[in-house]
Amino acid sequence: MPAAPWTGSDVALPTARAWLAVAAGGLIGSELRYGLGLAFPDAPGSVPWATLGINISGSFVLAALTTVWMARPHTAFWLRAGIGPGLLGSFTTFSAVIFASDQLARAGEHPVWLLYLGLSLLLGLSAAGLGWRTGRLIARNRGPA
Amino acid sequence: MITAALVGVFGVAGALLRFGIDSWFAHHSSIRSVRTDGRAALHWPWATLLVNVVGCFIIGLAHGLTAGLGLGAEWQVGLATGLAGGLTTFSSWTTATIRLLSEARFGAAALNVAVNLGLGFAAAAAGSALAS
Repeated sequence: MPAAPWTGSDVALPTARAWLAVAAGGLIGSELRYGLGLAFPDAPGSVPWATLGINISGSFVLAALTTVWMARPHTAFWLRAGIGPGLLGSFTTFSAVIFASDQLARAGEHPVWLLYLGLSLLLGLSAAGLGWRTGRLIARNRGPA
Repeated sequence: MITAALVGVFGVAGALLRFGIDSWFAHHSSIRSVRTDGRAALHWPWATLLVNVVGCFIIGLAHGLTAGLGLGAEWQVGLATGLAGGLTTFSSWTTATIRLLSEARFGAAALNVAVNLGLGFAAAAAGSALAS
């Protein structure tokens, strides 16, 4: 089994079409995250709710697609690459969570950054776990195609 | 408008870099597992750890650099939201952790959470310190 389902069952390096799909997905994911940040700006000294929501929803969708693609590995590689590492990988962010937590800690907002980090971990992992099971159910109901 | 364009350009660059690192690790681990004769090497999300740590360093650096070099706010957003945001990923990190849990590799899953967090905070602090 490959390290990630979008790496394909073959070990060949990605094709030009896959790189292009990742670029397109990366553009959409980054702009969506940026746009949501503008629509729901962070209040100073409070939990960055927009990033939290982005990371929870992205974790659910990526985990669900991962188990669906494990069951249906014939889905075109460029499509998996564009949606997985491209769109969802760029939509969600790790650096913003760490940086915001660090800034909140430096400002002495200890309950806030602990809450933010705790919620990110708890809800992010729960969403991925739920997505993982949901994807398996979807794949089972559809049957091996 | 300029900020949105910078986020787009840097976001695509971050995504391509992450995909390249991901593919490189997948390619090389598959070669290694062929050499070990049937005993497939155990996967662990090294590529995600690498991009997340580098991205945390970049976001720390971007924050300090704009103040130090007198760059406009649009460059800080481009580097932080675009490059660091596009390079790092939260969803692959959580999904890989759940996958390790589903394989009953509890130690590997806990390590994946702890090492990303620990090195991420250290890298962000190092980036900030270097730039200021």
